[in-house]
Amino acid sequence: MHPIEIEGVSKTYVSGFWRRARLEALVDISFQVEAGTIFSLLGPNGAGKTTLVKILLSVVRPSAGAARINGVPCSSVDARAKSGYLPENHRYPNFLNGLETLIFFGRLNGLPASMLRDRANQLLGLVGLDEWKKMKIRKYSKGMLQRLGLAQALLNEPNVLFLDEPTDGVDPVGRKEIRDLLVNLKSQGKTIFLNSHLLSEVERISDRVAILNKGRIIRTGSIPDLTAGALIYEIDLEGGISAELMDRIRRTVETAMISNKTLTVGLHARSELDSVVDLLRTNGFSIGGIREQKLSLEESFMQLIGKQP
Amino acid sequence: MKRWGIFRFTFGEAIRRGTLLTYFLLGNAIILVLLLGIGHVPQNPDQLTFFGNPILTKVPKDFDVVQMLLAFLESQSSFWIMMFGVFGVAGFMPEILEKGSAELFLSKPITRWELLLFRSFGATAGIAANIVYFMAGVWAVVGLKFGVWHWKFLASSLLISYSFACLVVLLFAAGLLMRNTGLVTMFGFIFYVFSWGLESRTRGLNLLWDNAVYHRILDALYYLTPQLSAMLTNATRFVGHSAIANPMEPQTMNWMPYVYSLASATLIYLLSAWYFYRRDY
Repeated sequence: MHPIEIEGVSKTYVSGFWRRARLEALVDISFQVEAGTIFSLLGPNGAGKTTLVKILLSVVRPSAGAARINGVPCSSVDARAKSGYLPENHRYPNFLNGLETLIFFGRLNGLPASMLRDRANQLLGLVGLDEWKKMKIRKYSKGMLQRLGLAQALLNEPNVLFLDEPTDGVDPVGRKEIRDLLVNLKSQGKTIFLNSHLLSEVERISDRVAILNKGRIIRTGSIPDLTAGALIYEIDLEGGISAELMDRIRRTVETAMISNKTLTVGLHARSELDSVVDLLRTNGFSIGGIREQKLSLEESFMQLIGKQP
Repeated sequence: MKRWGIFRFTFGEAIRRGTLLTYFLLGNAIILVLLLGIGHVPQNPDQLTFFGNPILTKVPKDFDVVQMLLAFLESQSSFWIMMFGVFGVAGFMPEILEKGSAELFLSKPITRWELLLFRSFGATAGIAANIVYFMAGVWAVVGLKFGVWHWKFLASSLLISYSFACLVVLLFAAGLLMRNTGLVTMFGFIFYVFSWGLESRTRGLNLLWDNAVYHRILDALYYLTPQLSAMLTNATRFVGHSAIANPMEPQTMNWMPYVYSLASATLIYLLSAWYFYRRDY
């Protein structure tokens, strides 16, 4: 059993007075998330990321398909008992202070009265809000609200944690603290489902990634899977290269350019690298080294999204 | 624990609302003024005074003047708590359904029907606390000043609270549909005024158009919605004086509006819970 299982989930929004306008927000989404991993869902605005998380938390009903959290259908109250959620742009009752907010949401999570205050205080300390816990949250900054939101999501010691833009509005130090906290939670066996636009952060902490575009999953895989496969290599040479040889190389590969004794080639297939090396060796060049040029997650993401119709 | 959490949170929210704090402060001021100012002429217990000036000078023989004062205060209390109450709680559903808030509430392990029900209980309790506090204060002042411990006046605060509870169900249903505090507030006031028109429809609204279908629609609206005006009129009758009630109405206490309103509020709640369950947020 996986902590998150999604099978053929689709969501179509129907609107308009005659309910004829239809928007396909999600189309036949299926995947599982392994226990004790950080899974990130990436996609441009309007791709359907938040809708998918809302379906998993029963805030939105799917039009088709099924999803389970910890083996329980996501529409069940039990599925939400052991999951935590930090929504994007969350709004808290602003007449409460930080401590009262956590106590209130702790009650909603069904925590026993005897442990509410201790748990709230412990989490406020964990997210660095101990000093501000008696301040009304209407006076909190965006970053403080984000930290409070994270504490709120952890109240019921969830097995599965859904975080929508958890570092939004948080300063770089705070971001690092949140990243460390997520890695620590993962080491405790928690499963973390992350929605984020900050691809560099996702790249640092995620075990697996799914890319969603226009309601469809277009790629899933680990970070090395997604960032490899560009077939771009850098070859260090020990001398200058003639124009004639460059022409011959260009006819062999997709792209080729020379800069500072480094030849960069883009290949159609891995076997073309051997042909380039052979050409260089037969022309008397000594090869200092060959490196595969990896894409960043952002470059990979942009390529994948760009290929979509 | 979860239900208690929602109830307690909503109760706290209700009593901290600016409109209800204003009601609370005004209520305290009125109690203080009554304590300091109300009295009667020593030689004539039927002659009330206010800071030494005679009031209610032409009291008919068969009217108990203190009871008349209490009936007046009861009717005023019910009117003003409805006004302040609608302002105070109209936003309770729209606010938790706003983007960023709905996700927080609905992702918790609590069902939507519980959220709706215990939030309406909490809102009602917040209003009830205010009205019971004010009327208990007036009751105590009148008791101390005149030696009249009129328990029905005190109990009428519960009838007013009950009437407001039925209105809250309707306001919450409107909140689910409209998701806009301003619109729900307007709806609340319009319904309050309209309920008086519905109650006396045979002498008013029915005369506008002599059409059986139109009359049946008005009858249906009267029975399908909480009979707010009838409940408030009967709460005044319950206090035991007819002087300020409509002389064209029967003056005996009628419990049926409370029964019909319970039925209609239950139906409205069930429909609201079903709608809430079906909606995406």
